Amino acid sequence: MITLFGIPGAASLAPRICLEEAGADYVFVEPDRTPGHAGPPEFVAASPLLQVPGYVDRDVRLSEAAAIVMHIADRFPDSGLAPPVGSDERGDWYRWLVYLTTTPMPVLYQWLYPERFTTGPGTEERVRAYAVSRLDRMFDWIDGELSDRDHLVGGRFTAADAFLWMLCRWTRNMPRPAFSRPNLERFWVQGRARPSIAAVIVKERLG
Amino acid sequence: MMRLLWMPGTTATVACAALEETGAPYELVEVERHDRADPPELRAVDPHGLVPALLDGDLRLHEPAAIILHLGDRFPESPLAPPVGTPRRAEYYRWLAYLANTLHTAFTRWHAPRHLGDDGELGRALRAAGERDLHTCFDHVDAQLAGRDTLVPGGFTGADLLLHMLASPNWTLDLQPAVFSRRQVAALHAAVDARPAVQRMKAIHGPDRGSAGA
Repeated sequence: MITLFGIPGAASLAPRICLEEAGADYVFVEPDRTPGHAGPPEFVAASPLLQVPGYVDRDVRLSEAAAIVMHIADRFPDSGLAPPVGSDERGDWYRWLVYLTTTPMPVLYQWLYPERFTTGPGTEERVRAYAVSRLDRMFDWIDGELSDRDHLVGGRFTAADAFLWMLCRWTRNMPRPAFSRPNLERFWVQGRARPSIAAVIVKERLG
Repeated sequence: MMRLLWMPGTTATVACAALEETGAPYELVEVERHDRADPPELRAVDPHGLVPALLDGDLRLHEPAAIILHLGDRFPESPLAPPVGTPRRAEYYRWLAYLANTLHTAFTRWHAPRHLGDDGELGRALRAAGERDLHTCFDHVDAQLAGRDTLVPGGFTGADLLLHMLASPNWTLDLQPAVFSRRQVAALHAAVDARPAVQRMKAIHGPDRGSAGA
């Protein structure tokens, strides 16, 4: 049995969408992260920094959302969550997942939690403003990439799309949400209609 | 034949080392340093035009972690990647993701205000937070390496190459003594440094010059 440690709507969202997409048998557990509580030992083993998501499946213990979705894709090869190993599409899939986790995702954290990224009291709003300007350009670029297709890689829904959909959701309170752009709006609406994403929206009461 | 667009001392070093680990033929194409003047947010937005770029057929890859992942799959006989579907493979994904999105980006925040020319209050505050996070990251990596010689237990992978680059003097600059005071990190850096493929890479790029960056 697979255990996914997460918080509704947080970085566990993309791994959970992938588990639903694969038809996996799993349980979703919200770890107790209040100070002084280390949380379940399985969660600590999976994620020593106590960050969600954590993932446990027999002898596999993982943290890092991008790593977990790559692993789920390998664990369920019939899911179509990843292109075949060694193909050009697989290389392109790595490109997208690495880009999403290294470039927009950390800057989204700067927008959501600016106090973590500065030591200067009173500079938080400037950190946020700088993050917004960078994110606007990133999502403009991604929107252009989707102008001729519905999915990032390989002509079908993959773990990279699950990851992008999660990041789009995190922008919903920004001045210009990612899905206010035409192609990303199409991507966002089509995503909501997928059974896997629709199921997670209900289970996590994401509205 | 694969081509690597590179500049000495940049993240192209780890792409070059990964290529050397595969033993496959490739062509190096040196690129001018013109993009150094570009604002980092512009370079972050559109990865195209960034160095390094690995050109393999129709594929064009930029991020070091993506280049390592791709080469590991293209050359399964190389030591870069554990076999698909194994626990070691999952651990390899975890380390590449963590190093790329946490340690590497802490370096970017520590270096970036220089690129921005922001020497003011905000730049200092961003740099200080980036430096603080670098120490946290290296402490974490050092603790995780206790009792083993490589990031993924059981032997060298491409993840060790990425840590080698990020712990090198080109990246750590004046923090180098502090980074190497983490003994597990220093030991892994030394072991990777001695690999023939890494020595060939260093012969191409020249000695560490303490001048690289994001």
